[in-house]
Amino acid sequence: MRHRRFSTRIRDASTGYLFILPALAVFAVFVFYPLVKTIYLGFYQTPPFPNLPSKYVGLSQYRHVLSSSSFLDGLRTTVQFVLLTVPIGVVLGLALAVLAHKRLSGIRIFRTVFSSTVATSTAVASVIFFTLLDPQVGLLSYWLGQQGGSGILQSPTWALPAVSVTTIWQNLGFTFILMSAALQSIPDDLLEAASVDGSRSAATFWRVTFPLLSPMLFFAAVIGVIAGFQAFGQIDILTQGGPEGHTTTLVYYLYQSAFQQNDTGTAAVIAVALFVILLVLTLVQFRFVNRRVFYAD
Amino acid sequence: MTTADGGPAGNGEIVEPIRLDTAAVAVLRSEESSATIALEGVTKNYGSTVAVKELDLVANAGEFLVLLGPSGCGKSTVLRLIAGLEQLTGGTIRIGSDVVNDIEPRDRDVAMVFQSYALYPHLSVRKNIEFPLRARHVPTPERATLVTEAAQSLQLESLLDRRPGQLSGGQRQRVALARAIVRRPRAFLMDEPLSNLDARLRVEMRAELIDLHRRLGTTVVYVTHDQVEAMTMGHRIAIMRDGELQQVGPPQAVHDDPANVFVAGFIGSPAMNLLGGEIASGAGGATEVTVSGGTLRSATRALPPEAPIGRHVTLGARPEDLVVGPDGTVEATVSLVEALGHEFHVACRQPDGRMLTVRVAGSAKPPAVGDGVRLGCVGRIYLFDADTGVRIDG
Repeated sequence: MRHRRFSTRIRDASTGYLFILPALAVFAVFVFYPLVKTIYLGFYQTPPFPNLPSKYVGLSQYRHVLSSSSFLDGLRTTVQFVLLTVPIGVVLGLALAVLAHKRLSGIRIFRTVFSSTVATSTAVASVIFFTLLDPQVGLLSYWLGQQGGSGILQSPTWALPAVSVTTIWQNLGFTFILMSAALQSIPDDLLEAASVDGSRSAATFWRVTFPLLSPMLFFAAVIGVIAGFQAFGQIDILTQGGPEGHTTTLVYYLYQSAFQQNDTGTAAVIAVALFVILLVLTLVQFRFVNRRVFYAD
Repeated sequence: MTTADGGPAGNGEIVEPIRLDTAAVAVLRSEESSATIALEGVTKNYGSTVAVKELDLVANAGEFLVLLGPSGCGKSTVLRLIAGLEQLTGGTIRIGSDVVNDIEPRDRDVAMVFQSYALYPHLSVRKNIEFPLRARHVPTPERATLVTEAAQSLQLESLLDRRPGQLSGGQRQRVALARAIVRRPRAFLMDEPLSNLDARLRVEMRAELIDLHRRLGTTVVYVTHDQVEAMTMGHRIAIMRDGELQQVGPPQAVHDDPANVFVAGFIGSPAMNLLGGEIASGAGGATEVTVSGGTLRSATRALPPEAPIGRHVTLGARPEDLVVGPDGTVEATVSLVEALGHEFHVACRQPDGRMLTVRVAGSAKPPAVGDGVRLGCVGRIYLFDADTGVRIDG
């Protein structure tokens, strides 16, 4: 009896593994192998001239790169970028979703408009803002009184905020859709019960709607942080990491190391660092924020 | 194993009898806590669809008024109009002496119990019950007392720190009731509150609701499509169809004297038999009506002068008033016998194919399927106008 049960279990398990095998194979080739290979590359110093053999330096390259001012500047810029884009992006997306949740005639038009940036690529969004911010012909530059000046994207103070605005704008459609879906999943009964119970609409929002939206807000924040750490396209198109490295995030620093300086070793170390940072951040978010989030039973 | 609404399944659940704490309920009772709800010419349209039409209805202070009708008859809309969740198209709604047409739901001082219970899923039972008090800025110490009293009166003390998702259907129902009674509103509005419970729990909660109402004495407007709930719970029943009021009255009166064919067919189980016929004679309170299988002869209320011999009518006869026997005057063939234990429901087919249901006592021997039988009437028959469905006898 016991023996049969055991063999059944083995058979069930092997059927299970059989099902995940294709996915496992894809992950192995495109994720696990590159990950291991990258960690491995971090142990080898790239030679100063091509065609010379790489030199095994062990952890010293990790130590060297991670304590360099370039890396720390990149990390600081990345954190600033995330802090600029995620909170504002989520709040704006939520605000638009709340506005568009009202039952008004023609509200569908607004819903379409608000979600339209989801169909815009990073490249397109960046080119749009590049034009808007152009010191000669840019409408935004004109409005901001920067016309004919050195340009907002060339300003060490304003380049990163400008890149952030572009990013927020481009992500807004997606955040709006997430928040709208979450709002629509809240039963009308609950809001009606609250109004009969004597709650004013602002109080109902904070005491009923907002807690029920919290899983989606949390999800949007996690996705936003990960996207922020991985942002590349808008920086490459708008500023190429400039001026004077003020928009050089970790990913852009990685790109410069790998493809402009052909320094695979340094690039590998940055990549591993990015991986670890995102892993830790996500775990922390799940561990601490998740406790304050309500999920329906 | 869970039910559709996520609670533990009814058949596996240990149903503890709920004893209302008399002392705790008595505290909640207060004289001014009950208001008359008066609807005058209330109309509600959704675009070109008429949901409620020219409704005049009063729920007296302290009364348990049941709105009964099939799905889509507008009964829930009436409740939502009283609560203020829908805007009136026309007419006036008064709660107590106030016209509430333009008053926000939160200022109407009524409590509503939803079919879904509408408990706040992220809040504990305590916070759910507390919600209406917080919304009204009741000071903390008073709030705690009131929550304790409401929880006691519905036997919820041990569940106060749980979330709604961890409760069974019956427990959720009690939390919804506690949330309604905690702030002592002028009236309760209940929208099919028992329809998500399993049959056994529904019977229990029915009794509890009646008890709770007797102790609190607050006006209740209760919506249901279940005639048993309506008959057992209501002081009066208001029957609606297609947005129009059909009849209002005490349950027994509505059962005994239906105003039209719709009410006659809706109230009573098994339903009243309704047949096309022709008045053959109407002398001395004993009326004869010719139907397809013969002539049914029985007592009716006095026929009005405009109900002459030969008039086409719809005849109504309750299954319990029909008998199978040699003295019967209507021929039919037995097509189905349903044994319910304490009684049989015998479905008989008349020559024109129309069916008649006869109730036979469980102690009697029922006819067999295929038997030719003769049916007679020992009770009253009802006569309705064949076109308008309006009652014409009595």
